[in-house]
Amino acid sequence: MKHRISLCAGVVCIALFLFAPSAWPHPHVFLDATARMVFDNKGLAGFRIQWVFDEMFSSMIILDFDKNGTGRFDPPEMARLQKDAFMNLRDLDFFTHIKIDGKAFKISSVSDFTAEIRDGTVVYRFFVPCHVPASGSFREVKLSLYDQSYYHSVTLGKDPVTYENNRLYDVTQRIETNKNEAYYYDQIYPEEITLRFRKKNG
Amino acid sequence: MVRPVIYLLCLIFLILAVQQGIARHPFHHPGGAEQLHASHTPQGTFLETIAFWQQQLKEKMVPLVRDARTTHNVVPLLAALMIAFGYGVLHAAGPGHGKVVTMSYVLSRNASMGSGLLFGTLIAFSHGFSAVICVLAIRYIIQKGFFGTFETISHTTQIVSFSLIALIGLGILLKSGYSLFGMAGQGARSYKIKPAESKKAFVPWAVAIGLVPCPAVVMVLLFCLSMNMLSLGILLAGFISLGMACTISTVVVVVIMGKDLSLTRFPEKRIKTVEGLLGMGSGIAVMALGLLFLGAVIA
Repeated sequence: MKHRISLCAGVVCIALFLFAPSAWPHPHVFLDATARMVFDNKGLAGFRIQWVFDEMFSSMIILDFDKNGTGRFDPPEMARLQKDAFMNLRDLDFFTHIKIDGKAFKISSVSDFTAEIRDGTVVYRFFVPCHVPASGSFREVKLSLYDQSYYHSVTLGKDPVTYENNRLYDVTQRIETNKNEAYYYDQIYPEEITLRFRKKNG
Repeated sequence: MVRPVIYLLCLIFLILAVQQGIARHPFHHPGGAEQLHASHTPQGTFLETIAFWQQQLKEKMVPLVRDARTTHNVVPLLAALMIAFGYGVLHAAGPGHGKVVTMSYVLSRNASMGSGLLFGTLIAFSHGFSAVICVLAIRYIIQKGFFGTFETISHTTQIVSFSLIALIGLGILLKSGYSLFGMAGQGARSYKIKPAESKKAFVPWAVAIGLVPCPAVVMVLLFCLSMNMLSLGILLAGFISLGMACTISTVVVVVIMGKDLSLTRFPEKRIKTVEGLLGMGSGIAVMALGLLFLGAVIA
């Protein structure tokens, strides 16, 4: 019995040592994300993404960028905010990961960035162009919103998916945990929005 | 004595083993009633679960801090402090916060329980209060924006801290190697390190390891500063640090108990060899981690 206890204790020591997570960033910022699927008359045009930051991180942004304390970001403040506290996320693909028919789609640019202060929280909105022409058969687009460095914990907000100009298309969506593509040392599974669409009467 | 230890060890094993999330969302058509609000779903891996609860506690802390300010009542203040403590406990359960280095210290130096606890506590408070110093310096001395400035400071302290961690690893490796091979002929000498001697030695190391300012404390403090509540911010930083110290200390207690239980089964000659090998292994691991993180920060 005593030998077993010793063995157990030894194994735990080794397990603790081996499995202790690494000394690297962990979520310090929390944000709720939603995506609006925007269609045009050719097919999918892109995604209008919204992030709502937690109040503590929001207070940091407000302190830094709402210099005149008006409770909103004036155009010069917005421009500085975009440059210093948004475009720096380009290397992290703006936390937006897309696959079109199974192939990864690299975001080359984003547009229409705005930021507002709403009930003490900062809300970012921007558009991610992603043109996928519709045809008679279903096209499949997968969208995951996460920060692979896990400094930001991104979770899907209430009503995470909405639509714009989708009346010409048959559209289905699925939201589920992607168990095949964990990130951050294989510890975190992203939520994945799978969008399938085709032309109506196709 | 043995039974609680086994329960504790099993609990830790269980926590480490929790890796499976649950698929939550079936197909549904747009406009359908079923929509996801993942932030209200506490299922998932261990890291996802503690991230979820950290978010919950952070959200609870905000109105309590506001209440404490507007009502000047002690109840929301105490509640905010308790939540800050819990937040610190969970925060340190995630990656980082010197747990690996603390474990290595304990394993390699034959540290007493007190020394190990003090080492872990010092790391936690150093991590928390370097953030306080950083915020106050940026706000009142440098008087610059936090974006960019905090990143620069954090980057510099990371380089210093990770270099020191690599050096500590090297030191542990050399010392353990020397005691294993160099002292082989001096069997009569005790293998125990005097606690007083080790305490003096580890204080600067613990402070150096915790040097990187904790962004979580930074944000709590900035939130309080935005409401002109600097002293409450510092108090909350203290309670977050205390919570982090508790988590690191729990790791220390478990490691020391586990190590002692294991080593009591060996004759003294074997203990020296096992301890030497453990120390060398710990030293290599800490040095590798330090170099790995240093490389990543510089890159």
